[in-house]
Amino acid sequence: MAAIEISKVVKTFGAVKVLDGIDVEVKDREFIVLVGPSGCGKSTLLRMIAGLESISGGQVAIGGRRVNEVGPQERDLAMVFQSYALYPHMTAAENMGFSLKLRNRPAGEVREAVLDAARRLHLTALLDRYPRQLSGGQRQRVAMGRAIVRDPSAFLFDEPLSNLDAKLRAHMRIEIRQLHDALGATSVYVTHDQVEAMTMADRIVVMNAGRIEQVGTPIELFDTPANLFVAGFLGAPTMNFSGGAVVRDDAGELRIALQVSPRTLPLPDTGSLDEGAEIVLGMRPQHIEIVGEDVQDGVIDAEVRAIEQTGCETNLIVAFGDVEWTIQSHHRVLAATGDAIRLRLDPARVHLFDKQTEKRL
Amino acid sequence: MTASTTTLVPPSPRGLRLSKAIPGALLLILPSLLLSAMVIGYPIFDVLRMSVADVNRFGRVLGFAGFDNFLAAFTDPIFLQSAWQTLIWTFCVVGGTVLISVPIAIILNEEFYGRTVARTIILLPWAVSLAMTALVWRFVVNGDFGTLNTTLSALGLPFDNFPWLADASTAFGIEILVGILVSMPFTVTIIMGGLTAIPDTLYEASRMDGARGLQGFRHITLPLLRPFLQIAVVLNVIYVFNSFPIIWIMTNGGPANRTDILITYVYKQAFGFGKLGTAAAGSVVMFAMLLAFSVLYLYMTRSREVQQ
Ligand SMILES: Nc1ncnc2c1ncn2[C@@H]1O[C@H](COP(=O)(O)OP(=O)(O)OP(=O)(O)O)[C@@H](O)[C@H]1O
Ligand SMILES: [Mg+2]
Repeated sequence: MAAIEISKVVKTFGAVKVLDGIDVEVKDREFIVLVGPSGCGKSTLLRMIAGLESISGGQVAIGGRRVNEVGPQERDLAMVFQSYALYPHMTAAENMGFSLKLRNRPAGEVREAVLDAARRLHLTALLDRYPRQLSGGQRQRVAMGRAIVRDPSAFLFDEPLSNLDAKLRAHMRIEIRQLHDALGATSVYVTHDQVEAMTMADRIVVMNAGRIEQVGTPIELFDTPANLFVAGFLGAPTMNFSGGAVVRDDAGELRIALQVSPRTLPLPDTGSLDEGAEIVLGMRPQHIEIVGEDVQDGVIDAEVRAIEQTGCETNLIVAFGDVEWTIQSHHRVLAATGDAIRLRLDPARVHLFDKQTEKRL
Repeated sequence: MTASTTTLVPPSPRGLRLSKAIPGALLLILPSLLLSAMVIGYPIFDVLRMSVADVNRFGRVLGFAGFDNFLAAFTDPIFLQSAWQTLIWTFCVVGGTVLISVPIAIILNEEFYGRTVARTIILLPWAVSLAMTALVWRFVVNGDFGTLNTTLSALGLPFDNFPWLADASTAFGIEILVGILVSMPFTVTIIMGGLTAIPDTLYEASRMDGARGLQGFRHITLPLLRPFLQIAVVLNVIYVFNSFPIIWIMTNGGPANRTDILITYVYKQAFGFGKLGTAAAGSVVMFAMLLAFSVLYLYMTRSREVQQ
């Protein structure tokens, strides 16, 4: 296994710059997830690591060796494609053994390696089938098997689970992560599913429009998103936002005046804010509490627009004039559309961002 | 062409479920079925009848002749020679066509500047009638005023007045080359269809697996093209085996019957020498040869499908 260093990587297609100065260091044995909205350049970056796409600028190094000019055959990486890209004219076993066959390994050794991988992936009974005789989930496993059979320096995954149903996806998430740990592998995993990112990654790289927005562990990104984009991208339902400003109240204390509420909120201790500063306040749906009329401080009033009961939790869509927020509660909330509702925003969990720079305060 | 592309689609299992509706459907297609049977069936029947009959030069059947016509054909050294030349002709034209069509199709399938123009040029010979192509090439290789000799002489090579078509081996060779030229557009089209059906990710996967140079061609392209190559071979064999105009126009089977194939032999027997019976027997032999080939081919592809 090996570390992968990506420094100042640029990719242009003709006149279009799709990646602009990407720096990521994938440590040995690390599971890195690249997330971002569609078209942000995740696949392109992955394919540049793989060697399937040329590098327009910067450098990619694998295990300390610069590989910009090295073909995919020589990089010793294995890739799992979104479409699986299984060879339709080869059985599962032949698909998995193909890389070893190309390396002219003796047939016995190939068979051993394939059987070993098949056992890990519970594919032993399917080895003689052709891809068209396999289900989507089974094909996915064969594609995984093809990757692990030859013990590469690192694994690259491009949305490998996006063609599976939700249940199988949840199962394979765990299985891939376990496989990664068991093999002591280095993995770079592309997805646009934030649940996959949160649950599988050692570290997440959030990308947007060809740039990196933030790199960190899932908890770091969730608890302290570096900017509005990351705050809005991670977490489901998405974070609620409201514009606002810092004001001084009658007692001379600094407080937050929100566009959505005539009441002011206590200002969390960020140290750097002064009266008049324009901010955006973010609040995760899970961190908003529904309180009674008696609570007076740190609350805002809203009107219930819709209620969704999922069984475990209740999602409330509430409105302040034109602005809608989502609230998620683990209690059964008995409210009806049109009800007035009072919400308390836990000051410790308020996220504040600069309105101009969109950076975290 | 449309007929050949539809044969590429494997029959759907849903078709079987229609079997209940067959009597009614049969009734509906009966008129066209009858017409086809007339147009295709009657000549076959007539040839079969004439092949075992004593026929005069005007096509009147004078009586039953048993296998006399076949005997006449098989004891004619020119018939045997033509049969042998037919095999060479078919093998060389089809083999050569497939061999050069694969690389051409691969090149035309790549992205490059002017690809559309290149594709059009390759497909152009298709638009010209066979007879016209053959005629043009007869002029090109003409010994006295052909452009080939003019060009070669201009290059200082000793081909002044070289009679290409007067010598059997060069004549047959040139005819085979022309045969390849005219069969190529169709074959390239079939193979290009096969190539576009191969997704690029398979090549990417194979490169990740370590495939270099021609290994991608050998392990991905060739096996996935196989059904397309099979169709190209079968259709070309049937077509080339029966191909008349090139040889007839360029050499008329000559010199000394050394470029005759069965179809020109049969034609000469029938309309040159008035031996309609022998000609009919020759036709039946040709039919049997193609039938044998088709059965063999079906058997080969069937056993391969069973393997999979
Ligand atoms: N071969 C190409 N030529 C031109 N532009 C390209 C090419 N490949 C990708 N792009 C552009 O590069 C950008 C990034 O594409 P990429 O496939 O990396 O996105 P992605 O993040 O993987 O998106 P998705 O989540 O939809 O897969 C897109 O705007 C895309 O249009
Ligand atoms: Mg992608």
